[in-house]
Amino acid sequence: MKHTILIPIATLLVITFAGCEKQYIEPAAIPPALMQANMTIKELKEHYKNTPTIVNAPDAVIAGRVISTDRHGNFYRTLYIQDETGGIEIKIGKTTLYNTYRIGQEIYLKPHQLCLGAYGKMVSIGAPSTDPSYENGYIDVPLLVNSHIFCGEIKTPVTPATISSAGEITNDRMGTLVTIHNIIYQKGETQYTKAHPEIYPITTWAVKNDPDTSEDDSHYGLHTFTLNNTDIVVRTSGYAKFAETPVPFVAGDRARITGILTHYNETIQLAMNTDKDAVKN
Amino acid sequence: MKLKASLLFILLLAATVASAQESGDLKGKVVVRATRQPIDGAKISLNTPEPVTAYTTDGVFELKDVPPGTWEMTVELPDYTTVKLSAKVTGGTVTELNTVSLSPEFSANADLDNADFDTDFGDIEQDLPITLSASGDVFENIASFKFGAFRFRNRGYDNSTSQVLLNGITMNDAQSGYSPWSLWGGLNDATRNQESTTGFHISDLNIGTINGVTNINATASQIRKGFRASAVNASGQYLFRGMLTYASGINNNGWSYAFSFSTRQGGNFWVNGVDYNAWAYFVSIEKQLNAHSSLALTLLGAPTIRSIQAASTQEVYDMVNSHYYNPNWGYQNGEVRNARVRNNHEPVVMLNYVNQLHSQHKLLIGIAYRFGTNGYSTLDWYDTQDPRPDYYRYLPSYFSKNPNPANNDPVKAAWLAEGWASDWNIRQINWDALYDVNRHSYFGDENTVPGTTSTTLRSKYVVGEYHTDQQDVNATAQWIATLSHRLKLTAGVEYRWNRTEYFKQMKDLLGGEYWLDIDQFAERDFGEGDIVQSDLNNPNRIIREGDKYNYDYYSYFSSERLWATLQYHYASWEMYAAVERGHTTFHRDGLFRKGLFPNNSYGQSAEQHFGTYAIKAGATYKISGNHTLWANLALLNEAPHFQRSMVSPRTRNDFLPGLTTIKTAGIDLNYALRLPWAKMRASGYYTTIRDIANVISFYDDVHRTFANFAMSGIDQLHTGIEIGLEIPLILDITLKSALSYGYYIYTSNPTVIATADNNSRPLYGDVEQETVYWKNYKISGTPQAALDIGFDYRAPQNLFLNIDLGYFDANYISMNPTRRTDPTLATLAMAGRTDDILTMTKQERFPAAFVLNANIGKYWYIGKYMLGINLDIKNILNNTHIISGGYEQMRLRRDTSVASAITYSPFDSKYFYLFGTTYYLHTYLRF
Repeated sequence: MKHTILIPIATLLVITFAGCEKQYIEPAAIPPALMQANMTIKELKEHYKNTPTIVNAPDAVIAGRVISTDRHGNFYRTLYIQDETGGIEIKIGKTTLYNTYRIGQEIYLKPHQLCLGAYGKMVSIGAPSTDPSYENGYIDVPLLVNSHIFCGEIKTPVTPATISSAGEITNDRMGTLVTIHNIIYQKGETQYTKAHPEIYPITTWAVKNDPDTSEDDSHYGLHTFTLNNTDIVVRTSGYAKFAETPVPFVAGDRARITGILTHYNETIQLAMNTDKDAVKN
Repeated sequence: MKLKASLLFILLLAATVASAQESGDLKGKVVVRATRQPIDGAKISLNTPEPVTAYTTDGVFELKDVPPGTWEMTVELPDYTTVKLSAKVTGGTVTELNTVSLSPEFSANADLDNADFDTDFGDIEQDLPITLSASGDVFENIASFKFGAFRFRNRGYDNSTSQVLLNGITMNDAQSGYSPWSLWGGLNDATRNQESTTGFHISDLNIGTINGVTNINATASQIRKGFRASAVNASGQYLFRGMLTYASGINNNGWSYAFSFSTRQGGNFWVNGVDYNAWAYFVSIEKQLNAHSSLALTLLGAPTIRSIQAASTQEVYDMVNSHYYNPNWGYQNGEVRNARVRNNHEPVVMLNYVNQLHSQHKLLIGIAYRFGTNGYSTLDWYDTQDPRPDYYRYLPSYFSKNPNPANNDPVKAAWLAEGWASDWNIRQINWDALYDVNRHSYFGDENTVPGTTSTTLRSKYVVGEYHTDQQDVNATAQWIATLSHRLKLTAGVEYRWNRTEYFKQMKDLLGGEYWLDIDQFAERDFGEGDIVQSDLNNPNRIIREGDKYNYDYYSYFSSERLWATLQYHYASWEMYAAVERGHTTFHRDGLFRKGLFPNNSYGQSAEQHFGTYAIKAGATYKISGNHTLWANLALLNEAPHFQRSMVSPRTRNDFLPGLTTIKTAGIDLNYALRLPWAKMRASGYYTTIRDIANVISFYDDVHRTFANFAMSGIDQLHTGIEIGLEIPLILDITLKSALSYGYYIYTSNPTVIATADNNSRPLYGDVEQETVYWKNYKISGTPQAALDIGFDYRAPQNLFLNIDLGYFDANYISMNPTRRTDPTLATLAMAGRTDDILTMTKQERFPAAFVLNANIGKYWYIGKYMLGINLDIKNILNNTHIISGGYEQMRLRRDTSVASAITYSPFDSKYFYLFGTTYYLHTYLRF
């Protein structure tokens, strides 16, 4: 019976150690990057030579705060930052960027060897493109993203500049967050591409499901407003979560809309982060 | 008790008297039963008042000065069945005993753990390999230990075809049929006493299916008496194993008890990020109630935590320059953490009553209860980037092998490869980054989700755990009656009840504060509202660690079986016939009301009923003592398994349309040769299995939705030969060889009904069902040809040596059925891309492989102690280029570059490679 002494010992061992999964220590917070900016966004954009331009500025650092979010689906694989001199689109190429680049967060960009390009004359920074239809492409690759874009401190969100007359829509404001007051709603329309090139009137922000095809074809919504007889088009992606939400305006309504000011050639456009950014005046 | 005490007293008295008389000598010889070779080092002991012990030399032993009388003589040798017989010693003479022959209990490396693979086959529910149990059979003794590393499955059958009993009670999983070896993993000593039949053959305790019946005798009295301790240091599966076992044997008061404890710790040498933390306990007590009946209570369990390796593509293996890359782990705070961890503890408690009514009748009654938890962790994420490092978009091929050439970018591909080479946080899971996302995830749910504020952190990445928690009761009774010396009748009855709860449980919120229990695929497709809820009865539920989420349901199963066998022998003939009748029923009971299926998810489903039967017959003809011929026939009609019977058990109560029983028919022919210079068994078999159903759930790129792919009418053919051979050569060297040459194919084109998981909409539109063209394709998951040739050397002084060469071929990849359907192939056919059709449909065959293994062992007797050591080395040539298994990914690349003709191409397949050299060093002590 002397062996029976082993039973309680072994039982104790099993009870103590069995089934205990390793507990991991929670990692410390990742410290925010802190760099000294030595180039402004405006200076960076000035490097663009009307053709795809690889930035050659080995030590350049740009600092800007995040003003766009893809959380609501209206921005896709892209991020806007702005400093005191202007704003720029960074074509990061990843999705669900809002999890990593939060509104108000300070971003440091080392533009060396990245590529400035324009689409509809709107300059952005990204990677050199292999697709001839675009002057620059998405950065995409984690190692490239990690070596060019650095997350700094999360600060208070940028206060959008107020625009209440067409004259305030300047080139320097392109790519920055603005609130346009007193614009008057005109119309909403979409252009079904592919099989249906016609222009259709719509009353939602965009079209998520093309009613004419069984495929989940979504289409941009284009809603035109005017400010002192200047047209401003609020452009919304069919992939936006609020694409199917009715536009809360009828023709003639006055509105106040916050968004990122852009242009497509000569057309002035506004892209909202969320439909909550459009309210009646 | 009184009677026993008196008997004991008389015996003792007799012994005392005897000792006073003149002593005698006892001589004898011990040989191996099969080969008649003399055995060295067998221990002979007599239960005389003063124990007498001797060891054999050249098979011969001599016991001197033995008190006269009749004594129990024990002949023991490690790895051989202990023999007890009575020996009568007459004073003043030398008594010559007949030759004692011993049968090997297990082969020399029997202590190796049965191969089990801590690997994950992705989307495809992959059968675990069959764990063969060694029997006296010359083929299986070799196959069970030498073929395991290649995931060899006996005759190509899946795991559920092998019936495993513990103390006479069926232990195969009620939900899946899988054999249950992991329930007693690490209890090798306690479960060593096994009896097996092979192939279609019946056993006394059950009629079995088509792949043998193994019964493990693990009540206290059935475990080898004595103390046994062992320690293992190994590199293939775990680093260390310690085991302690004691069995009392039957004490004079009729009690016996046994216990065993073990632990297995540490990962293996080849794969990073896999850890092993397994424990096991076994306690059994048994009481001999009277001369012919006994009652035993047994409890066992194996709390086991193992982190798992996943397969990856050749592109990844080449990039990291290792065939053992494991995408499941990453660094957290500098520590290795694996996302896929199996954590199970399913104790079994059983009560067994045996009554040897009289010499001709034996009654066994047993009841077993299995319970506990079985979890398998996984990463979950919501509206954020895929955290798996080898997700296809993170690989260079995304920019170099894109079917749309415009998307290819060699510079990006090169930078991706550079990231894999230089940054562990790119190559593996970046846990710190997952925490960082969660710690800033102020989601603003406060208006819709009660209990949250604008500053409550909603986790975007979490670790959840799939649970399959069983409660299983199995009651069985068997009756074995020897009606005459020619006729034996056995009969049995079994009732089984099982309730398994399937659910997902929150394990770790990774720095966040809650997870919202909604269906993100439904949210993506249908937006907001009731439809996105996982459980409409508790909408917008906040999930904290420990809570159940996503899905929760019971499956109820019960079955009754009744069987009888009749065995008859006359002259050189032995014959048997066996019949079984049964009934199986199961249904689902949903505990969540799924937003997508509010009327078909909560509460009970319809009950499914299946009448089952089995008929078996066989005949053996002994041509002479040396040559035996026999044949078996089996016809089975078995219930399908619950897990393969529902369209989408996690979401709703729909069963597969036309669900039916699985029909198996098989025949085998066997020949055995037993000569002093050769022992052989050769068999040929032919089995058809019809009407198998299977359900695969995956993201369907053709229809761009999460789909349930329910196949029915899968027919299979398994035919082939197996040969086992043992030839004693010179100098105690024995040649041992086993060959399995099979041909396992699908013989039908199953029909498939594909439905969107989201809304049960049929995906093939007007065509109700599609056909999967895989007639004549090969059954995967096992080499169809396996050969092992080895030499055993049983040297003097208890030294064993073994070296063997294994050859494996005809191992095929596990197929993605969608690659062989019209909707996938039609577009390629229209585009006239015949080469691409071939790429899409061809089934990959892995290259044949040779593996060299060796084993050396020795043991010593030191007084009453026996100390042994055994070293097993596998894959001595360190060949790291042998694919041991793999599967085609379920997803397809969608090429939209020609808008009018969207085409598909397959993703790279995923492979597992056989480990390079591994060793297993086993030291043991017995007394």
